[in-house]
Amino acid sequence: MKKAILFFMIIIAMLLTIGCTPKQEIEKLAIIVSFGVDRTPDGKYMVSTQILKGEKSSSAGKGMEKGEKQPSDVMSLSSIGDTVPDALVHLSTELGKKIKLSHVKFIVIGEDAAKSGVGDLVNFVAREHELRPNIIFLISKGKAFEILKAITPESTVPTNAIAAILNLQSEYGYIPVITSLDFATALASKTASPITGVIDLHRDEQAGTIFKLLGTAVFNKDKLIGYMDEQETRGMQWITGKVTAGNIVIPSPDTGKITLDIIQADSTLRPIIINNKPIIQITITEKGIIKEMSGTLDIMKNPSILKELEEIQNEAIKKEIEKALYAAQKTFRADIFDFGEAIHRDCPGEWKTLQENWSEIFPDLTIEITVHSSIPRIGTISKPLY
Amino acid sequence: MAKKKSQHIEKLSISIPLASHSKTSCRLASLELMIKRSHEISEKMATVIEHFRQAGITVQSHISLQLSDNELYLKNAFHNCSDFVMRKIKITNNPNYSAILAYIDGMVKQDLIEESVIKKLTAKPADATYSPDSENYVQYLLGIRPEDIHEDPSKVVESILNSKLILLVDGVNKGLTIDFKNPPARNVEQPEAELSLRGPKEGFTESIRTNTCLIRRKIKNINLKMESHTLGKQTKTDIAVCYLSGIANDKIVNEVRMRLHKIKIDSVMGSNYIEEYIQDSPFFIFPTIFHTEKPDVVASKILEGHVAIIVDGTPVVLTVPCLFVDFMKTLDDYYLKFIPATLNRWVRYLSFLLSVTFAGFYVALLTFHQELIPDALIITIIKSRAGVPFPLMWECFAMLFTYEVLREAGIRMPRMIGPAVSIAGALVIGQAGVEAGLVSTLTVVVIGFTAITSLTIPSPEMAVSQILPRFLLLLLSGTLGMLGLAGGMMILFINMISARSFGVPYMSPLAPLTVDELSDVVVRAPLWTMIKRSKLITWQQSLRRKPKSP
Repeated sequence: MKKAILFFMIIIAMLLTIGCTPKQEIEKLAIIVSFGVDRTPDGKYMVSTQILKGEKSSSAGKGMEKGEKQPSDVMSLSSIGDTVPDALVHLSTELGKKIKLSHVKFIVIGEDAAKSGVGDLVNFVAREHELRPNIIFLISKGKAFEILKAITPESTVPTNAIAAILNLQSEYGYIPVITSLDFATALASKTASPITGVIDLHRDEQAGTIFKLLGTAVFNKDKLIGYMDEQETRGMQWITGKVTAGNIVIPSPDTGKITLDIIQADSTLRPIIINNKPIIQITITEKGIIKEMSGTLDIMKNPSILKELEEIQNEAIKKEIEKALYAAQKTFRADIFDFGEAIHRDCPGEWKTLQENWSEIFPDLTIEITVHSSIPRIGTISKPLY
Repeated sequence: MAKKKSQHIEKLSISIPLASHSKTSCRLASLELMIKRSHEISEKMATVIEHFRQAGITVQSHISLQLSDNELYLKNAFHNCSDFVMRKIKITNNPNYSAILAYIDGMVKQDLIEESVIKKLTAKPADATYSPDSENYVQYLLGIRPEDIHEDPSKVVESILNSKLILLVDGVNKGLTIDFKNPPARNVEQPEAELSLRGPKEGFTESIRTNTCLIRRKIKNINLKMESHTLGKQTKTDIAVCYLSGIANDKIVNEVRMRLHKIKIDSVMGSNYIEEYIQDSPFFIFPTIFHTEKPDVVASKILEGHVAIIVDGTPVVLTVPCLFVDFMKTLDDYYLKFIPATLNRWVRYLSFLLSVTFAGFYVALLTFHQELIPDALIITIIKSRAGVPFPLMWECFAMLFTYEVLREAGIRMPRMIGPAVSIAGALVIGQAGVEAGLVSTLTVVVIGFTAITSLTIPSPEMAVSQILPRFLLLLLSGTLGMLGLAGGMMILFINMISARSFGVPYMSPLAPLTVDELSDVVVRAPLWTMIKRSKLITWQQSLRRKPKSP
C-alpha cells in the first residue's frame, strides 16, 4: 500500500513538474537553421530565414541526372515586423508550422541594419532561451536576405556550407568567429569594441553562387563603423591567439618567395605599467614548416639558413600584427582586442584611473611585439631541384 | 470496561447454576487442545481418504501373508490401468512356492526382468532348499536393500508408480522393490535456448537422475549433497535440492527446504511451478531465480555456493540465490580470454540499458526535446518523419508490438513456416511499411536495434522481462518527455534495488556497493586473480584456493 502511494506520488509530482514544453511532433516544427536581419527603409526589421524542408527529395534512391541541380533541403522565407521576434512571429502567416530556433547556427546582419545599431538584436539573442549563446554573428556587405536566399552547389543546406567555412576559419584566422556571447561581452564592456566576421557572395560562372567569408567588421558600441581586410584580420587573430593553421609567405633571402605552413602558434599578452603609462607586451610563439621554396638555398648543407629564415618569418608575422594594430588604433580608434580588460585583470588598481580616458589612451598605446618562430622541418627535399 | 466483563460473567453463572471456575477452565483446556490437534486430525483424515481413493475398494493396512490377498489388493488398486502388469512365477520351479512380479509396462527394463529376476528365482538353488517363511532367500538372492522392503501396501503401490519392480512372495508379508527403472527419456542434447560458443554442449534432460548424474560428473565431491523431496498431490514429482555443503550457506539451504515444505501444490509440470511458490516477490518484474538448461552453469553456480533445485520432468534447473548481474554473465565469459570476455560483458550491460530505454529516449527526443538533436542528424530525422500519419509514440508502440508478435509467433511455429514469417516480417512490415509511408525509416532502425539489443541477454527469462519496462518507458517518455523517462527509470531502479533473492540484495554488488566483488561484475577479472568466493552468496569468508604466499 505504501509503495502504491509512493508510486502515484512520483507520477503526480512528475505531472506537476512537467514544465511548459508541450508535446510537439518534430515534422510539425519549422526548424530554422539561420536567419538574417535587414532594416527596411521605413525603420522596420525584415527577417529572412532558412527553414529545413520536410518532404523527401524526389531524387532519393534514383540516380541523379547529369547536370541536374541538386534539390535544396531548405526554403527561404522572409517577413517584416517591428522588431526581430515580431518579424519571426509574422512568419506564421506564411507557414503553418511553429518555429523552432534551437538549431540556429548563425545570424547574418545586413550592412544597413548593422549601421543603425544591433543592440536590440543582441538583446533578443541573449534573452531567448531557444537561441544558444554560441550562435555566430556575421555581417553581410549587402543585404542579409541575399545571403539567406542564395543556394550553393556545395551542400543541400547552405547553412552547413557556411558553418563548415566558419569551422575551418577558427584555425586559419582569415575571419574572426564571433559568437553572440563574445559580441555581447564586448558590447557590455565599457572600453572594448565588438567585431564580427564578414560574409559576402561571390558569383562564379561554373560553380554558381559561392559564399566568401573574409575580413572583419568593426563596431563602435552597437553600430558598424568599418571593415578590416584579410591581412589586418589575421594580424588581429595572431594577437588573440586564434591562428593555429594556414600559411605565411615570406621573401626568400635568395630570390623569390618561401611558403611556410603554420603547424603551431600561441600568443601571450602581458600588460605592464611604467610611469603610469600602460604598455602591452605581446609574445607570439610559432612553428612553421617549409612548404615551398625557390632559389638555390640548400639547408642541409648550411643549416644556419634556417636561423635567417626564422628571422624573416618573425618579421612577417610582426608586420601583419602591426597592420592590425594600426587599423585598430589609428583608423578606427577602437579597442577590438580588449586590451582594456587585460589591464583590468593584471593591474586593477591602475585601471581605475586609465578607464576614464581609455579612448584617448588607446590610439597611442605602446605595444611591444616579440615573435619567436622556428622552422622544425623543411619537408622532404633539401634544396630546390633547379 | 472491567465492570462490564464482570457483569457478563455473573449473568453466565446465573444461567448455569452448577458452573464452577475449575470445571470451566478444565473444559476450556480440553477444547483448546482439540483445536490445536484439529490440524493433525484433519491431516490424518485426509491421508485416510487418500488411501481409500488410491486403494480402490479393498483397504489393507499391511501386506498379507497370503499371496492371493495381495494379488487382489493390487488388482483392485490398479483397476482399469491397462499398463499395469502382474506376472506369476514359481520360485525354484516348485509349484508350492509362488510369487508375483508387478510393474508398469515400459517403465522397467524388460530384458533385465527376464535375465536376472525370473531366471534367478526359477533356477534350482545350489545346496540350500527354499523355505517359504524365509524372506531372506529372495532378499539376498537379488541383493535388495532393507529400505526397499515395504510392509505398507500404499508404499508398494507408490513404488510401482515410481516405475519400480515389485516382488511379492507367498508366505512373506513384505513387498520387495527392485529398481529396474527405465522410463522413456531423451538423450543428452544441446539445449536450444542456451547456445555456447566454446563451452560444453550437453544440456539437461527431463529425467532427474540423468540431471543429477550430469552435475555429479562435474563435481566429484562427497560434499555435493542431493536432498530428495516429493511435491505435487497428484503428480508426486521428485525434486532434488543440490548444494555443496560447507560452501553453500546453511541459512539459504534451510530457507530453500522451508519454502519447499510450505508448498501445497496439486501438480508440478515444470520448474516454474516451483519457482512461483518460492520466489521472494512475485510481482517483481525481473526474475529472482536463475534458470538454466546447462549442467556446467549449474555446477559453476553450486561451486559458488548457490543452491540448485532440480525438478523431475523438466530440463530447466533453478538456482538460488540469484542476483541481477548473474543474468548479465554467461559461462562463455570464462571460456574466453578475459579481455574479449570483459568487452562482451560491457556490450551486454549497454545492450540491456538500450533495450529498455532506447525507444523511449528516441520518442522523448523527437517529440519534446528537439533542441537536443545534433545538427547533423536533424535534417535526416525530419526527412524520414515527413508524411508519416501517426504520432511518433504510437508509431513506435505499433512497431514494438509488431516485433513482439513476430517474436512470439517465431517461438512456437513449426520450422517449415519459419522463413515465411521472417519474410512477412521483414518485407511487409519493414520495407513495405516504410515505402507506403506508414512508418519512418528511422523508427524501423530504432526499433530493429532495440529488438536486437534484447537478444544479447543470455537468459531468456531476463530477455522476456525487459518487454514490460520497455513499453512502460516508451509510454512515459511519449507523454512526459525526458522527465517521464527519467522518472520511469527511477521507479524501475528503486524497484530493482529494493528486491531480494533469498536474503541477498538483488542489485548487489552494485547496490549496496561491494567493491571487492566488482572484479567479476564490472570486468571479468583473470581467473588466477579470483581467489575469494562471493561473500554475498556464501555469507562468509570463503576462498577458492590458497593465495600464493608472498
